[in-house]
Amino acid sequence: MDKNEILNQLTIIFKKIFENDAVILQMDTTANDVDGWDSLTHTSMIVEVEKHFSVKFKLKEVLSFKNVGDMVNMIHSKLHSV
Amino acid sequence: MQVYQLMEEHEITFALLVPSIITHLRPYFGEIHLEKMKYSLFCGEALYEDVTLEWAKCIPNAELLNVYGPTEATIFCTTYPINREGGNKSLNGILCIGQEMNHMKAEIFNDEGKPADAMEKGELCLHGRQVTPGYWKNEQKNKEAFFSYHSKRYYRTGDLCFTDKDGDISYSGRIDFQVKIQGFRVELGEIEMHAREFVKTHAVVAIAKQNEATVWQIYLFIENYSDSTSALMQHLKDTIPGYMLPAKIIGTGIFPLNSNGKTDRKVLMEQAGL
Repeated sequence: MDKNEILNQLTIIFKKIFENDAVILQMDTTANDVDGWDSLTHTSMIVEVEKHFSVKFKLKEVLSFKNVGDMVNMIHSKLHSV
Repeated sequence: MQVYQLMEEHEITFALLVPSIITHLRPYFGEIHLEKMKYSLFCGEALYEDVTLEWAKCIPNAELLNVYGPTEATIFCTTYPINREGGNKSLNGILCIGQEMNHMKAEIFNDEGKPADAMEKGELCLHGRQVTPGYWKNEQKNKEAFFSYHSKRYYRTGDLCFTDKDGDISYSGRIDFQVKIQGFRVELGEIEMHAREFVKTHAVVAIAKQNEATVWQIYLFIENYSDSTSALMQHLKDTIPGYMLPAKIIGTGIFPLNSNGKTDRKVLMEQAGL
Protein backbone atom coordinates (compact mmCIF):
# COMPACT_ATOMS: atom_id res chain seq x y z
CA MET A 1 0.00 0.00 0.00
CA ASP A 2 1.49 3.36 -0.97
CA LYS A 3 1.28 6.55 1.05
CA ASN A 4 -1.49 8.06 -1.07
CA GLU A 5 -3.68 5.03 -0.46
CA ILE A 6 -2.93 5.18 3.27
CA LEU A 7 -3.92 8.86 3.24
CA ASN A 8 -7.17 8.03 1.41
CA GLN A 9 -8.05 5.35 3.93
CA LEU A 10 -7.18 7.63 6.83
CA THR A 11 -9.55 10.20 5.36
CA ILE A 12 -12.38 7.66 5.53
CA ILE A 13 -11.52 6.88 9.16
CA PHE A 14 -11.37 10.57 10.06
CA LYS A 15 -14.77 11.22 8.45
CA LYS A 16 -16.23 8.48 10.63
CA ILE A 17 -14.49 9.46 13.89
CA PHE A 18 -15.13 13.18 13.55
CA GLU A 19 -18.58 12.64 11.99
CA ASN A 20 -17.74 15.07 9.23
CA ASP A 21 -17.92 14.08 5.57
CA ALA A 22 -16.19 17.30 4.59
CA VAL A 23 -12.84 16.27 6.11
CA ILE A 24 -10.04 16.46 3.57
CA LEU A 25 -6.67 15.24 4.80
CA GLN A 26 -3.32 16.41 3.49
CA MET A 27 0.10 15.30 4.70
CA ASP A 28 0.48 18.60 6.59
CA THR A 29 -2.99 18.53 8.20
CA THR A 30 -2.81 19.02 11.99
CA ALA A 31 -5.30 18.83 14.84
CA ASN A 32 -5.92 22.56 14.41
CA ASP A 33 -7.34 21.93 10.94
CA VAL A 34 -10.01 19.40 11.92
CA ASP A 35 -12.99 20.38 14.06
CA GLY A 36 -13.31 18.18 17.11
CA TRP A 37 -9.78 16.73 16.95
CA ASP A 38 -8.86 16.90 20.62
CA SER A 39 -6.91 14.61 22.93
CA LEU A 40 -9.92 12.38 23.47
CA THR A 41 -10.98 11.94 19.86
CA HIS A 42 -7.27 11.51 19.10
CA THR A 43 -7.28 8.37 21.26
CA SER A 44 -10.39 7.05 19.49
CA MET A 45 -8.82 7.77 16.15
CA ILE A 46 -5.56 5.98 17.03
CA VAL A 47 -7.50 2.90 18.15
CA GLU A 48 -9.49 2.90 14.90
CA VAL A 49 -6.38 3.40 12.76
CA GLU A 50 -4.54 0.56 14.50
CA LYS A 51 -7.49 -1.73 13.96
CA HIS A 52 -7.97 -0.75 10.32
CA PHE A 53 -4.35 -1.19 9.28
CA SER A 54 -3.62 -4.04 11.70
CA VAL A 55 -0.67 -2.15 13.16
CA LYS A 56 0.25 -1.24 16.72
CA PHE A 57 1.81 2.08 17.63
CA LYS A 58 4.12 2.53 20.57
CA LEU A 59 3.23 5.32 22.98
CA LYS A 60 6.28 7.34 21.97
CA GLU A 61 5.33 6.97 18.30
CA VAL A 62 1.83 8.29 18.97
CA LEU A 63 3.26 11.23 20.88
CA SER A 64 5.68 12.00 18.03
CA PHE A 65 2.95 12.60 15.45
CA LYS A 66 2.95 16.28 14.58
CA ASN A 67 0.66 16.01 11.57
CA VAL A 68 -1.17 13.47 9.43
CA GLY A 69 1.95 12.97 7.31
CA ASP A 70 3.86 11.64 10.33
CA MET A 71 1.11 9.09 10.88
CA VAL A 72 1.03 8.11 7.20
CA ASN A 73 4.81 7.62 7.21
CA MET A 74 4.65 5.54 10.38
CA ILE A 75 1.86 3.32 9.03
CA HIS A 76 3.75 2.92 5.74
CA SER A 77 6.92 1.99 7.58
CA LYS A 78 5.12 -0.59 9.72
CA LEU A 79 3.27 -2.13 6.77
CA HIS A 80 6.50 -2.53 4.86
CA SER A 81 8.74 -3.62 7.68
CA VAL A 82 7.58 -7.23 7.64
CA MET B 1 -1.34 10.60 26.42
CA GLN B 2 -0.20 14.18 26.89
CA VAL B 3 -0.66 13.68 30.61
CA TYR B 4 1.89 10.89 30.45
CA GLN B 5 4.21 13.09 28.39
CA LEU B 6 4.00 15.79 31.07
CA MET B 7 4.70 13.31 33.85
CA GLU B 8 7.74 11.95 32.05
CA GLU B 9 9.25 15.21 30.76
CA HIS B 10 8.87 17.06 34.03
CA GLU B 11 9.70 14.05 36.20
CA ILE B 12 6.50 14.57 38.15
CA THR B 13 6.64 13.23 41.71
CA PHE B 14 3.01 13.81 42.75
CA ALA B 15 0.07 13.11 40.48
CA LEU B 16 -3.63 13.39 41.20
CA LEU B 17 -5.55 11.77 38.37
CA VAL B 18 -9.10 10.81 37.58
CA PRO B 19 -9.21 7.06 36.91
CA SER B 20 -10.27 7.56 33.26
CA ILE B 21 -6.76 8.83 32.54
CA ILE B 22 -5.06 5.55 33.39
CA THR B 23 -7.79 3.62 31.61
CA HIS B 24 -6.78 5.47 28.42
CA LEU B 25 -3.09 4.83 29.08
CA ARG B 26 -3.64 1.15 29.84
CA PRO B 27 -2.73 -0.15 26.35
CA TYR B 28 0.69 1.49 26.80
CA PHE B 29 1.46 0.50 30.40
CA GLY B 30 4.24 -1.79 29.15
CA GLU B 31 6.11 1.27 27.85
CA ILE B 32 5.55 3.51 30.86
CA HIS B 33 8.14 3.67 33.62
CA LEU B 34 7.99 6.69 35.91
CA GLU B 35 10.61 6.09 38.56
CA LYS B 36 10.42 9.61 39.98
CA MET B 37 6.76 9.35 40.93
CA LYS B 38 6.38 9.29 44.71
CA TYR B 39 2.62 9.71 45.16
CA SER B 40 -0.14 8.67 42.80
CA LEU B 41 -3.60 9.72 43.96
CA PHE B 42 -6.95 9.07 42.36
CA CYS B 43 -10.27 10.79 42.87
CA GLY B 44 -13.42 11.83 41.08
CA GLU B 45 -14.60 8.44 39.85
CA ALA B 46 -14.86 4.85 40.93
CA LEU B 47 -11.36 3.34 40.89
CA TYR B 48 -11.00 -0.26 39.75
CA GLU B 49 -8.41 -2.40 41.46
CA ASP B 50 -7.27 -4.32 38.37
CA VAL B 51 -6.18 -1.31 36.32
CA THR B 52 -4.71 0.35 39.43
CA LEU B 53 -2.45 -2.59 40.20
CA GLU B 54 -1.28 -2.65 36.59
CA TRP B 55 -0.58 1.10 36.82
CA ALA B 56 1.40 0.47 40.02
CA LYS B 57 4.00 -1.40 37.97
CA CYS B 58 4.58 1.77 35.92
CA ILE B 59 5.38 3.74 39.07
CA PRO B 60 7.53 1.34 41.11
CA ASN B 61 8.52 3.89 43.79
CA ALA B 62 5.17 5.52 44.42
CA GLU B 63 2.58 5.26 47.14
CA LEU B 64 -0.92 4.85 45.76
CA LEU B 65 -3.94 6.38 47.42
CA ASN B 66 -7.61 6.43 46.59
CA VAL B 67 -9.01 9.72 47.88
CA TYR B 68 -12.62 10.79 47.98
CA GLY B 69 -14.59 13.94 48.51
CA PRO B 70 -17.00 16.36 46.89
CA THR B 71 -16.39 20.01 46.06
CA GLU B 72 -18.88 20.96 48.80
CA ALA B 73 -16.49 19.50 51.38
CA THR B 74 -13.33 20.92 49.78
CA ILE B 75 -12.62 17.64 47.96
CA PHE B 76 -10.45 15.35 50.08
CA CYS B 77 -12.38 13.82 52.98
CA THR B 78 -11.47 10.15 53.02
CA THR B 79 -8.43 8.18 51.91
CA TYR B 80 -7.54 4.57 51.31
CA PRO B 81 -3.91 3.44 50.96
CA ILE B 82 -3.66 0.95 48.11
CA ASN B 83 -1.47 -2.11 48.50
CA ARG B 84 0.34 -2.50 45.19
CA GLU B 85 0.61 -6.26 45.79
CA GLY B 86 -3.19 -6.62 45.80
CA GLY B 87 -5.63 -7.88 48.39
CA ASN B 88 -7.26 -4.48 48.75
CA LYS B 89 -10.81 -3.97 49.93
CA SER B 90 -13.13 -3.62 46.96
CA LEU B 91 -16.76 -3.94 45.97
CA ASN B 92 -17.61 -5.11 42.46
CA GLY B 93 -13.95 -4.49 41.63
CA ILE B 94 -14.15 -0.87 42.84
CA LEU B 95 -11.58 0.05 45.47
CA CYS B 96 -12.70 1.10 48.92
CA ILE B 97 -12.53 4.86 49.70
CA GLY B 98 -11.15 4.24 53.17
CA GLN B 99 -11.56 6.33 56.27
CA GLU B 100 -12.10 10.00 57.00
CA MET B 101 -9.18 12.39 57.23
CA ASN B 102 -8.46 14.59 60.24
CA HIS B 103 -11.11 17.21 61.01
CA MET B 104 -13.76 15.43 58.96
CA LYS B 105 -16.53 13.07 59.97
CA ALA B 106 -18.02 10.68 57.42
CA GLU B 107 -21.30 9.10 58.49
CA ILE B 108 -23.64 6.79 56.60
CA PHE B 109 -27.35 7.53 57.11
CA ASN B 110 -29.91 4.87 56.28
CA ASP B 111 -33.32 5.28 54.63
CA GLU B 112 -34.81 6.24 57.99
CA GLY B 113 -32.34 9.09 58.40
CA LYS B 114 -30.46 7.35 61.20
CA PRO B 115 -26.78 6.37 61.32
CA ALA B 116 -26.43 3.04 59.56
CA ASP B 117 -24.99 -0.05 61.16
CA ALA B 118 -21.81 -1.63 59.86
CA MET B 119 -22.39 -3.15 56.38
CA GLU B 120 -25.75 -1.36 56.07
CA LYS B 121 -25.98 0.76 52.94
CA GLY B 122 -27.04 4.36 53.06
CA GLU B 123 -26.12 7.86 51.98
CA LEU B 124 -22.64 9.07 52.85
CA CYS B 125 -22.88 12.40 54.66
CA LEU B 126 -20.01 14.66 55.67
CA HIS B 127 -19.52 16.91 58.66
CA GLY B 128 -16.55 19.09 59.54
CA ARG B 129 -14.85 22.36 58.92
CA GLN B 130 -14.19 21.58 55.27
CA VAL B 131 -17.90 21.60 54.50
CA THR B 132 -19.07 24.71 52.67
CA PRO B 133 -21.39 27.21 54.43
CA GLY B 134 -23.76 26.62 51.50
CA TYR B 135 -24.61 27.38 47.91
CA TRP B 136 -24.57 31.09 47.10
CA LYS B 137 -28.11 32.49 47.17
CA ASN B 138 -29.74 29.13 46.61
CA GLU B 139 -31.82 28.37 49.69
CA GLN B 140 -33.77 25.60 48.02
CA LYS B 141 -30.63 23.67 47.17
CA ASN B 142 -29.20 24.34 50.63
CA LYS B 143 -32.32 22.85 52.24
CA GLU B 144 -31.94 19.74 50.12
CA ALA B 145 -28.20 19.27 50.50
CA PHE B 146 -27.57 20.08 54.17
CA PHE B 147 -29.17 18.89 57.39
CA SER B 148 -28.49 18.83 61.12
CA TYR B 149 -28.19 15.74 63.24
CA HIS B 150 -27.37 16.00 66.95
CA SER B 151 -26.43 19.65 66.42
CA LYS B 152 -23.94 18.80 63.71
CA ARG B 153 -24.34 20.08 60.18
CA TYR B 154 -23.97 17.46 57.44
CA TYR B 155 -23.68 17.58 53.68
CA ARG B 156 -25.48 14.88 51.71
CA THR B 157 -23.08 13.50 49.08
CA GLY B 158 -25.66 11.53 47.11
CA ASP B 159 -23.27 8.57 47.21
CA LEU B 160 -24.48 5.17 48.34
CA CYS B 161 -21.92 3.65 50.69
CA PHE B 162 -21.44 1.35 53.62
CA THR B 163 -18.88 1.04 56.36
CA ASP B 164 -17.30 -2.30 57.16
CA LYS B 165 -16.33 -3.59 60.60
CA ASP B 166 -12.92 -1.88 60.36
CA GLY B 167 -14.52 1.49 59.63
CA ASP B 168 -13.52 1.52 55.97
CA ILE B 169 -16.09 2.96 53.60
CA SER B 170 -17.02 1.29 50.33
CA TYR B 171 -18.65 3.15 47.48
CA SER B 172 -21.64 1.41 45.95
CA GLY B 173 -22.81 3.92 43.37
CA ARG B 174 -24.76 7.13 43.09
CA ILE B 175 -28.11 7.18 44.84
CA ASP B 176 -29.51 8.82 41.69
CA PHE B 177 -28.47 5.76 39.72
CA GLN B 178 -30.29 3.31 41.98
CA VAL B 179 -33.26 1.73 40.30
CA LYS B 180 -35.83 -0.85 41.20
CA ILE B 181 -36.74 -3.31 38.50
CA GLN B 182 -39.50 -5.85 39.11
CA GLY B 183 -39.31 -4.87 42.75
CA PHE B 184 -35.59 -5.61 43.06
CA ARG B 185 -32.99 -2.97 43.77
CA VAL B 186 -30.49 -3.15 40.94
CA GLU B 187 -26.83 -2.36 41.49
CA LEU B 188 -25.45 -1.07 38.22
CA GLY B 189 -21.92 -1.63 39.52
CA GLU B 190 -22.60 -5.35 39.80
CA ILE B 191 -23.66 -5.51 36.16
CA GLU B 192 -20.53 -3.59 35.19
CA MET B 193 -18.35 -5.96 37.22
CA HIS B 194 -19.72 -9.05 35.46
CA ALA B 195 -19.36 -7.38 32.07
CA ARG B 196 -15.76 -6.46 32.88
CA GLU B 197 -15.02 -10.10 33.67
CA PHE B 198 -15.87 -10.83 30.05
CA VAL B 199 -14.46 -7.85 28.15
CA LYS B 200 -11.35 -7.62 30.36
CA THR B 201 -9.52 -4.34 29.71
CA HIS B 202 -12.38 -2.42 28.09
CA ALA B 203 -14.09 0.19 30.24
CA VAL B 204 -17.76 -0.49 30.98
CA VAL B 205 -20.64 1.73 32.05
CA ALA B 206 -24.21 0.64 32.85
CA ILE B 207 -26.89 3.31 32.73
CA ALA B 208 -30.54 2.96 33.71
CA LYS B 209 -33.23 5.01 32.02
CA GLN B 210 -36.99 4.93 32.06
CA ASN B 211 -38.62 4.28 28.70
CA GLU B 212 -41.83 5.91 27.45
CA ALA B 213 -43.88 3.43 29.47
CA THR B 214 -41.87 4.52 32.59
CA VAL B 215 -40.26 1.09 32.80
CA TRP B 216 -36.59 1.15 33.82
CA GLN B 217 -34.22 -0.27 31.26
CA ILE B 218 -30.49 -0.82 31.53
CA TYR B 219 -28.06 0.08 28.78
CA LEU B 220 -24.54 -1.29 28.89
CA PHE B 221 -21.75 0.61 27.12
CA ILE B 222 -18.39 -0.98 26.30
CA GLU B 223 -15.53 1.32 25.34
CA ASN B 224 -13.56 0.65 22.17
CA TYR B 225 -15.56 -2.45 21.45
CA SER B 226 -16.65 -3.60 18.04
CA ASP B 227 -16.97 -7.35 18.67
CA SER B 228 -20.34 -9.04 18.66
CA THR B 229 -22.22 -8.44 21.87
CA SER B 230 -24.14 -11.72 21.82
CA ALA B 231 -21.41 -13.67 23.63
CA LEU B 232 -21.26 -10.97 26.31
CA MET B 233 -25.05 -11.08 26.68
CA GLN B 234 -24.86 -14.84 27.10
CA HIS B 235 -22.17 -14.42 29.77
CA LEU B 236 -24.43 -11.99 31.63
CA LYS B 237 -27.39 -14.36 31.33
CA ASP B 238 -25.21 -17.03 32.95
CA THR B 239 -24.09 -14.80 35.82
CA ILE B 240 -26.80 -12.32 36.80
CA PRO B 241 -30.57 -12.53 37.33
CA GLY B 242 -32.87 -11.75 34.42
CA TYR B 243 -34.12 -8.47 35.88
CA MET B 244 -30.55 -7.13 35.83
CA LEU B 245 -29.91 -7.91 32.17
CA PRO B 246 -29.33 -4.90 29.93
CA ALA B 247 -31.94 -4.10 27.30
CA LYS B 248 -29.10 -3.27 24.95
CA ILE B 249 -25.31 -3.59 24.84
CA ILE B 250 -23.58 -0.85 22.90
CA GLY B 251 -19.96 -0.95 21.73
CA THR B 252 -18.62 2.60 21.39
CA GLY B 253 -15.38 4.46 20.73
CA ILE B 254 -13.56 6.20 23.57
CA PHE B 255 -16.04 7.28 26.25
CA PRO B 256 -16.77 11.01 26.24
CA LEU B 257 -15.48 12.85 29.30
CA ASN B 258 -17.03 15.87 30.95
CA SER B 259 -15.10 18.98 31.94
CA ASN B 260 -14.00 17.23 35.15
CA GLY B 261 -12.49 14.36 33.21
CA LYS B 262 -15.21 11.92 34.26
CA THR B 263 -17.13 9.67 31.90
CA ASP B 264 -20.04 11.72 30.60
CA ARG B 265 -23.06 9.40 30.89
CA LYS B 266 -25.48 11.91 29.44
CA VAL B 267 -23.43 12.32 26.27
CA LEU B 268 -22.97 8.55 26.01
CA MET B 269 -26.74 8.11 25.97
CA GLU B 270 -27.20 10.93 23.46
CA GLN B 271 -24.57 9.50 21.15
CA ALA B 272 -26.41 6.18 21.19
CA GLY B 273 -29.70 7.94 20.44
CA LEU B 274 -31.17 6.88 23.78
